[in-house]
Amino acid sequence: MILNSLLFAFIAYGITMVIALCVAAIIKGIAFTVQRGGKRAAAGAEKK
Amino acid sequence: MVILQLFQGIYTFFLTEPAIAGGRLLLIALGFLFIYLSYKKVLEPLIMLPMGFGMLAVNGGLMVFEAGQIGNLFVNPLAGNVEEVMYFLQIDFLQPFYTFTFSNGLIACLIFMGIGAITDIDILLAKPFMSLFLAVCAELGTILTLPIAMAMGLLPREAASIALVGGADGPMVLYGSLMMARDLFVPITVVAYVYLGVCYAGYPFLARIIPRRLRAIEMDWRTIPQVSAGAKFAFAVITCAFLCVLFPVAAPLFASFFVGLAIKECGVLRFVEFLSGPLLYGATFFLGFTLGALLGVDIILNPKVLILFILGIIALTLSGLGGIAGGLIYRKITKEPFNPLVGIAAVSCVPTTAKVAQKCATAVNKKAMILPFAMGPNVAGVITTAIITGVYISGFVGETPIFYRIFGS
Repeated sequence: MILNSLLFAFIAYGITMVIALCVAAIIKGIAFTVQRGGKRAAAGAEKK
Repeated sequence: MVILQLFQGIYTFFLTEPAIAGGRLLLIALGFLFIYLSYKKVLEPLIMLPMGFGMLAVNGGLMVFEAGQIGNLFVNPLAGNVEEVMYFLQIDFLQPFYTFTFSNGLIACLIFMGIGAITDIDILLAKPFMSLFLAVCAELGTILTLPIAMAMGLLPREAASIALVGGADGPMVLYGSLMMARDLFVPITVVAYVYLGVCYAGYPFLARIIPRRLRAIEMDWRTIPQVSAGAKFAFAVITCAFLCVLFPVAAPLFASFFVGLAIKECGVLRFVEFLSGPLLYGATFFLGFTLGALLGVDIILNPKVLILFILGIIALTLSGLGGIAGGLIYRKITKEPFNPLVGIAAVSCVPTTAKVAQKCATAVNKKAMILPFAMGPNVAGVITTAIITGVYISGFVGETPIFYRIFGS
């Protein structure tokens, strides 16, 4: 049972790592979108 | 003896067994100690001062009821059926708080809304990989305490509840233990809050593992890129939806934290004032006071409580060591100057551990300003602890918990 719990704990750790990576990817995705939006807005302002 | 019945708090000392009377005296003394240490700012007064008052009042204020039963006028956590609950709601003055905010985890969610409304996520968004890497490392205690607790004789769901202390997040421990080990949620939450108060004094000793020259490394906070309010708002909304889909059992926690965050970034000032002021501090006060009132003599006579105290310190120490190890590893892999003390801030006791990291850095180098960097892993720690809470609740709660489905009973 103790060995099982150790295994479960490591599974939980692995899941946490993967989800944390996904959260980091979400942040990067948002940063990329915001940056692109900013560049487009700047380009639009220059054209005008 | 008849005259003594006028003063029932004293009278009940003679009616009960010596062990119970001694336990009451011990808890009253502990209540005084908490109040004193809160006054001296050794423990966090926001939570420990009302808790100390609750403890000494509830253990001093025992009385004899009509049926000859001994009890108090504070709260009865054992009220089970609807009739009993309705009866105690009319008798015990803290029963409404317990029934309507504790037993469903609302109190933890209210605090999370307030925390969300005061949390600054700039550095988390500017350096997400650094923040989340350190936060995952600092969950070492939350992970390893689970098998250690089971080796010490706790049931899996009890072991998971006490392991959450390693995440150093009071409301999360309260929520997790309410979901997984309702009969032990009072001692587990008290253990968590007592140790979180001690973190500020204890972690600087742990930080001395890091060589002095590394603790003195300066980090240039002016290099942190600016993050727009729109990006922070989008992060709160998208991450909330993502985590709620993954862990519906912990969705109330995610929703509470991220709604606070979103309101702050949206700039709804009236709501921010309400969440970060009356709601946060009102909930914190009643959490402390009701927890203290729940800390009756039957709690400390439970043999599991001593084990919980030992496991609590193991969890927090392991998490601190994990954070430090993460800091040292990240220093090796990054090209920028990096102070490994930032790793200890990933133990998510917002903002205490970030302040500890800054305090330790200032002690060796007055110019070392690492607090802005430390806030990133600090906030990321809340998110990783919430994820682990979700995994543990999903794993150990339900008709046939996933843990037993994987490994058998």
